[in-house]
Amino acid sequence: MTEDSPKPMDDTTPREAAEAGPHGPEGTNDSRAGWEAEVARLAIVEPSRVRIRRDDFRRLCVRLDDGPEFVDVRPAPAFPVSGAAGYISFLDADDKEVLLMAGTEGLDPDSRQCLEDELDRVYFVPRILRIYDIEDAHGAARWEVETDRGYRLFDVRDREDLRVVEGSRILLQDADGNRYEIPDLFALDERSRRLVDGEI
Amino acid sequence: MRAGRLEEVERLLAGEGQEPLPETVERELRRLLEPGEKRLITLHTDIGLDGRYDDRWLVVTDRRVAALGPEDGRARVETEVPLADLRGVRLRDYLGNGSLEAITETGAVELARFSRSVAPEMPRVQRILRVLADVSDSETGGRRGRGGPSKAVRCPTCGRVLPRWSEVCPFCLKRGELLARLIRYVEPYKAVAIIGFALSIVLTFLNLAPALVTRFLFDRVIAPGDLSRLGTAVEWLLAIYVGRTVVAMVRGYMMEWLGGRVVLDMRIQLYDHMQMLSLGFFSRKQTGQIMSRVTNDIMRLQYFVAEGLQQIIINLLTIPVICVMMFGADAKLAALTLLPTPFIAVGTYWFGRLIHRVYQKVWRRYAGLNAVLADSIPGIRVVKSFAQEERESKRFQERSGALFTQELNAVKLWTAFFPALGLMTAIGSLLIYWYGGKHVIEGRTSLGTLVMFTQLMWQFYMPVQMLGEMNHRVQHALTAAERVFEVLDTKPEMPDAPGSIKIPRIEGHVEFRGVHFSYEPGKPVLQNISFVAEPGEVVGLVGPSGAGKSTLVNLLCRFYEVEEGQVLIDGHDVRELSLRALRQQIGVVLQEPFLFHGTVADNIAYGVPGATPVEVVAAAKAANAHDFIVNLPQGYDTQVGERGQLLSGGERQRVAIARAILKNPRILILDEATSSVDTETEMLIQQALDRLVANRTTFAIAHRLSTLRKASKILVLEHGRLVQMGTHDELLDQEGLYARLCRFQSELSKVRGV
Ligand SMILES: Nc1ncnc2c1ncn2[C@@H]1O[C@H](COP(=O)(O)OP(=O)(O)OP(=O)(O)O)[C@@H](O)[C@H]1O
Ligand SMILES: [Mg+2]
Repeated sequence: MTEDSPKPMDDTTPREAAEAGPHGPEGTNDSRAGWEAEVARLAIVEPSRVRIRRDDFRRLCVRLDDGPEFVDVRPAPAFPVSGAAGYISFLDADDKEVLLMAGTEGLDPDSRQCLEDELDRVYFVPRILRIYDIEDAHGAARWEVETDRGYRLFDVRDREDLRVVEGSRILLQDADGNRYEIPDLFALDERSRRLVDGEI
Repeated sequence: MRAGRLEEVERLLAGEGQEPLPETVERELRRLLEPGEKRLITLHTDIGLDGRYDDRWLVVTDRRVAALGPEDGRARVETEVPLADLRGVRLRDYLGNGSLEAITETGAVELARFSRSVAPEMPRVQRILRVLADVSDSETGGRRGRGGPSKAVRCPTCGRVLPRWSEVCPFCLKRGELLARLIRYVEPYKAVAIIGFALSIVLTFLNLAPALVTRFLFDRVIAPGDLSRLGTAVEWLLAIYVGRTVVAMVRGYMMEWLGGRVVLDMRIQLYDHMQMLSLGFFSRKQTGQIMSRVTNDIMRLQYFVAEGLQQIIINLLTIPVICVMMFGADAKLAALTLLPTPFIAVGTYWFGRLIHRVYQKVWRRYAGLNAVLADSIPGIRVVKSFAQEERESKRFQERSGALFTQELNAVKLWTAFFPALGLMTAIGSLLIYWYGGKHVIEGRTSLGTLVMFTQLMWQFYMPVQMLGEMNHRVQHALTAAERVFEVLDTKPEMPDAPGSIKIPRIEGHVEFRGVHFSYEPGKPVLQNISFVAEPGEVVGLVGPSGAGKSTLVNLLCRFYEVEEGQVLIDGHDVRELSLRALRQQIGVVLQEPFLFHGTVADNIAYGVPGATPVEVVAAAKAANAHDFIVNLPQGYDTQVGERGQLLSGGERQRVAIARAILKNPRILILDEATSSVDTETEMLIQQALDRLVANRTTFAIAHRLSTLRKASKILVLEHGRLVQMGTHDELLDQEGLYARLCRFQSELSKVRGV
């Protein structure tokens, strides 16, 4: 808590000014050369260096190499929806990042198990596999579906809660704030697809 | 167990908390519980510990907490913790779900997982468990938790969730009621509506009359070769045609007038009502959506209210009249003519449903297209400065393409259906020619009747078709009506709620008492804020970005309502004050000043429409805006452009300050009011403000702490909590956030050489 310095200080420390020059990659002598150095400075940790465990009090603990262990951290996938990169950020109890990990490839099995167990909670978005029925009344609709986590009945409040991304992927939010996803509309069976088609 | 604890639990439960258990769970629970053990909570949860949807029950008694789950037809106790072992209860909130953990001396166990549908129940369970186990780890879970969202509002009749901002359940909605409500808008123009309706009936008969005259013409004039009657028949026809034209003109005008008039009323009512709605309504809905209700939806109603309703009644009238005419002339031929009718009716009904769905989609694509516009046009500066014109064009192209594709779907339906319908009707006419022709040749029917039939047939299918479409037409209009009424039914802020207190002159005593607030349920923005500001005091608000400073002043203006606690002005809860009286006496300079399209003078005088030029100039002088204004080509009469974009950021701010000053409010709120002006200008404004703040309560939010030197009290916010309070000097002496911020800024200003 004590080293918890206010934001402006972190942001304005002018320590990188000197580093900008030499890092430019070969051939690209353009205006982004300094930027490359900035990207290179990003400390994204290889999963093989990370150990994750859960202590007796069900708190997630993470440590880098043989460094100190951070207790009670929370994994936060950086791009949970798009999956643009598998980056996983670990945040401490004050919501400050303690490390940023590049995916899960290379984690030892125990750590991986632990992380997956926690991610299953942190990002709970059941995938809809099949749609039994959508009962629609001018925007509000009751969906009856089978998900990868079992049968579910939920109410969608209006069309704003139904978002089509990347053409055939659909993200939903129900009235209570639960999330669901249809990974690929075209992978659904004919009937399910027709039902959804009426909604988008 | 300590006495009184159970009473406290009972109070927290308030008679709720026990959901009925299914047989198997009940049986297992009986086995588990000791004699005399008292059940306090039985709560259904919906996610198993393995992350699959499943039915579980969380049971709290006066001795233990347990989780039961189904197992092969009989229930099983999954976890169980005696209250005596309980050292803490942790509630974790994640995206889409949460979990409840029991902490004991040696570790923690997960008691239950649950979706957000159940989550709102959990904080209470947690509180009760803490009371029972006598633990006071009030902060476990911490601010990380999103907390429980308030449960979605559901329809009391059918249990379905209600649409946002609406109190009408679309499932339970009675169409009749909606129609009746629509018709009520026509009521003030009853006379026009009735005359119009009468004319419609006249017109219907005038449309049918030529068929009768034609029959007369063939049977009584042409066939017998009666030249003397020919003139009469043609005169009759002429009279009918002329009459029909005149009636149609008059009626057409009246109906258009009626539709336009009703829509005018509705639109004004809608807009007036919208102005009364709380800020929350506007920040949730997209601007485009709101606009489309005022324009599109209302337009759809225009047709329906004036024309559609009458059309339905007229069609319902025409059909039997034609039937009578036909059956009276030749029953057998009439029956034949009507043969295709059911097909046409069913066909149009089915088509109506289909096309309605397709049009809904077209409409949504249209909205998507509008969204691109609403996004990129106001943001055009950003688009250009990042050289992203092409990308925006592409985005627009994509949406336009999607709209086109969807429109084609509709076109495909239209173009397939109507020719097919034409064919059906044509076949009907063939039937008439075939059988009618035979009848005439055999002498069973006159030629005139045959001609009349062919004429009537076309007039008969038309209303049938229309009635087939009626369902979706009505649906269409009702959907639009629903959207309009949804807004009208949203509870407005009451500017002068009955019983509200009107303080003619606010003294300026402001108090926050244990205020909690969040924009989104469960994500606290302000927590337990308490302070007092005396009349005439200058209160500074500082803290990192996102700390909740703007939110705090929003509560003071009652733009939003507190969740817990009270905001008091002169000792009255702001909720009891008349909103109008309150806001008339509060002057706000917002962080992002908004100017309206109009002149500089109009903008300064916005809050005081009758202000004299002298007052306007005085306010501008005080805000240090006068000099730049008179330098503008048209001085105070210069147009500022949409949103004031013809002025610079600092100029806009100064106009906004002048606007607040002119109002001479009892409470002045400056949210970063001088952040976009240079230090010298700021100093000048500061001097003016120093004069003005005298004898009014001022709240000033500032990142530049130097502007707050004169503040008699500074509140330091961090993460929505009030972490420090005192004068500039007092706070400097304390080793805290303020001192750190200050030291950092003075270092910066040394660099700047100020
Ligand atoms: N209309 C809104 N709906 C939802 N959340 C909001 C809304 N307005 C603000 N917030 C959130 O509330 C928190 C506090 O916002 P607020 O505007 O009060 O901060 P602030 O202290 O004024 O910050 P700044 O110094 O940057 O203006 C932020 O986390 C912000 O994301
Ligand atoms: Mg702010």
